[in-house]
Amino acid sequence: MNLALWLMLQAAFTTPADAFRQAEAIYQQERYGEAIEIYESIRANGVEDGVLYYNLGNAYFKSGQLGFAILSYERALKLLPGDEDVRANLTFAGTLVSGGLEPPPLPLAIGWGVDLYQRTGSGLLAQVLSLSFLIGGSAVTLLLLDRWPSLRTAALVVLAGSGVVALLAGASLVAKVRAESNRIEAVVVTENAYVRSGPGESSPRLAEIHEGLKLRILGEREGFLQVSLANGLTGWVPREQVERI
Amino acid sequence: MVARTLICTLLAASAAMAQDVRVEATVNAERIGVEDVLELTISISGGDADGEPELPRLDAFRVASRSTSSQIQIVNGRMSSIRSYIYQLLPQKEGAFEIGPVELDVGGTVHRTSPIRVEVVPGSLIARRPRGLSNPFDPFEGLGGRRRPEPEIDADDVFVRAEVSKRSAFQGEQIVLTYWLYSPYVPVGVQVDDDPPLTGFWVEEVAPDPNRSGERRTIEGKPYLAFPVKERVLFPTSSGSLSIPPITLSTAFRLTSGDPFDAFFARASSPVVVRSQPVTIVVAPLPSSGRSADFHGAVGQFELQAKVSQEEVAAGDPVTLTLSIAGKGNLRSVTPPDLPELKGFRAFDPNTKETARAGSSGLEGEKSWEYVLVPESSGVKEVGPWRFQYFDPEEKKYVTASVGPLQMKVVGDAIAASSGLGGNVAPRRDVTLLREDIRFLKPAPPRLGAESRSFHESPWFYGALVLPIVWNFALLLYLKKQEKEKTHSHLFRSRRAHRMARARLKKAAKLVSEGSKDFYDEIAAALYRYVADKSAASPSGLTSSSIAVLLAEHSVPEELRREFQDVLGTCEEVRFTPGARSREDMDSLRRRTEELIVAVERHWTK
Repeated sequence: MNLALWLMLQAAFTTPADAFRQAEAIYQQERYGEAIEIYESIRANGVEDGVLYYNLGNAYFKSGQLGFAILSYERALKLLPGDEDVRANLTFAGTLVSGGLEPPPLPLAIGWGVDLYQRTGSGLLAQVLSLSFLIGGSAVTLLLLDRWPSLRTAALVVLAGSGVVALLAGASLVAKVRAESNRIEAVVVTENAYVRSGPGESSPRLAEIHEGLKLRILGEREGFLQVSLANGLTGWVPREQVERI
Repeated sequence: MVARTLICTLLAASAAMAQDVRVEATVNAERIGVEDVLELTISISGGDADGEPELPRLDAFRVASRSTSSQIQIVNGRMSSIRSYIYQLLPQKEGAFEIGPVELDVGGTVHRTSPIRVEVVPGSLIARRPRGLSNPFDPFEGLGGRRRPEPEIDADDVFVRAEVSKRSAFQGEQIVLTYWLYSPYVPVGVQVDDDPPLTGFWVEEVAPDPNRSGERRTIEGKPYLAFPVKERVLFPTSSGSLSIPPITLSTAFRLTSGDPFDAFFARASSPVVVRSQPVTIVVAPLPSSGRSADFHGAVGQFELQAKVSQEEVAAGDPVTLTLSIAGKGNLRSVTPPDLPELKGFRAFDPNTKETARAGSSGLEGEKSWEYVLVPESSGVKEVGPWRFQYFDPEEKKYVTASVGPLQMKVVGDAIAASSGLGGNVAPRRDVTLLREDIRFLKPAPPRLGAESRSFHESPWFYGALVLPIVWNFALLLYLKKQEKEKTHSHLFRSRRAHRMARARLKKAAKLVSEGSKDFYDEIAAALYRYVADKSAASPSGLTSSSIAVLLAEHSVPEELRREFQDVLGTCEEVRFTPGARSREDMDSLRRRTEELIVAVERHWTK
């Protein structure tokens, strides 16, 4: 009670940098529960921040709550898709998930593309897209004016290049924004959960999954989420046992 | 004002008291032996000292203990208090010394005692007779009718002796030093008042044994009870004549008598202070003959052992090699035998264990070193041998213990193949991964939540997308309009050509009435302009011959073309010939031109 009040006062009267320092000091004293409270109180003020989620994930990890740790890392990664620390901790935490499923390996070139897609944030994609529009637009202007015939070929090449880039960036951006707004991924936050063949406790169990496993949400019905696992298995899990990323 | 008066009164009162203050220093004896204890008493009567008395620097004495006592006297109806500070001083050397003066601040005035001369002679002079103190817990005392005999402690019968296991030793050889308290009585509450540091020795304290009791010993025909007060194991660190300074103890004794009541009311005597005699030990340096490079200062009796945890091991798996040295002597300073070069192994720094305990027979125990070895190639490997040399003070010679070599069978693939760099390359050490952990916390970003609003949600993004389309579209419109205007002006001019020509001819008709020669210029201009407008050409670039070409291009018939040239020729002619022309001529030329233009207009094709 006192702690909660104190934390509220802290959150109200200090800058985020101070609160972070405070939490870090507490974290180093291995009082992870209190560190979680500080980070969660900052988050409760409506702050969505990648670094905040990262630190929160660390505190959850150290306190042994693997599911919430992975959830926080996944949320951090959405905001900081290119961050190596987030990626490293998520990978490390992922190795501790019981029965973690590896998606089937992709061909190298596609895998590389997927990796690039995952590491690139929607902000960067939007910037690339707008930049390619500006460059392509300038090339079109050059062609329209038709003042310098020697630049014609160069302008055409630039236009084609920026067109390809804009197409890729635009398609990726649309996919990303749709995925982000739909929140189609979730993490198991209870120690164990059963994937059932239908929405209901009476449906037969298809698989037992463990804390920290990442799922893809396909639909929702009667307090159950239809999910698919990385290995392709599809089933239903109770909504309260998973948390949307 | 009142406060000041009060303070003055207080000052006067304290000054009056200060006049009666007496500070005195006394000693129990002015001539004492170096083994005796000098008791210095500083008593203050008639006032309270501000703090404790400050003793002057005493080079010849050590202060062993300090105690205080207070007494209140009422003499002739006047109350006075006496406070005494009693110091037990231990003489450090013989000779005549002066103690004091002692300075003491009482009630703001500094009082000085008169110095005391004390002579310290060898041996002991004072018969240590304790004052018989009454037992406050004895209810029968003072009942008058029955006074029990007070057993008297003869202080001469109480002494402490420092006994050593040997008086001559080698450097590093252990000597057991025991302080025995001799008395006819059972001591209670033995306290060490003064225990000067032992210089020239490494000291291991022997933990007191609670089960150890006193011994009965007879000295010079007198029976004594002897109690070990303190026991130490000494290792001389330098050679020569080393002195063990005296220890000072204070102890009380349990008094017993034949009275059966004593069984219930055990009585303790008042404390007696006793001092041991200094002991000198002659330390010989270790001989140099017989000493080898394997000697690292171990003195005593030792045994060397070596063993490996497994005799068969897979390449790459760790094996523990344990070397141990067990025995009596200066184990604490024993270093491990030199590890010979291990070919085909990676070796890590050893883990040292020591289980040595100081006891009545000296320091005894075992010291061991655990090396982790990782064989890098397969085959039968040998480790060792090891040699350890120590000096045996009993035998007075150096002894070399040796062990090994040990054999080990390494199976499996060689994991670290020869590097091809030659034999003298130090074994490669891999990075030892101790544990895996997550990466540490990050500091707060300058703006919290800055990245949550992505660029694609900002107006700049939409601006950047729309801007090139807008500007290119605008450019396109502009270009289109320009093009249109260009074509428009052609049609316009062509359509207007006839009207413009007629307007000029009307103007020419005016010039006819004025009889001006400008009439011909106007006619020529009308014709030139007409063709220029019709063919969307610039009028300034036209000549009569290029007009003929243009007319032909636009399928104007031959006779009209000739007529055109004719009219233009007439105009030229008039311009360059002087003299006026008749109005009729002008008028007919005007009409001809008018008809010509109408005819050309009719025939002109695009």
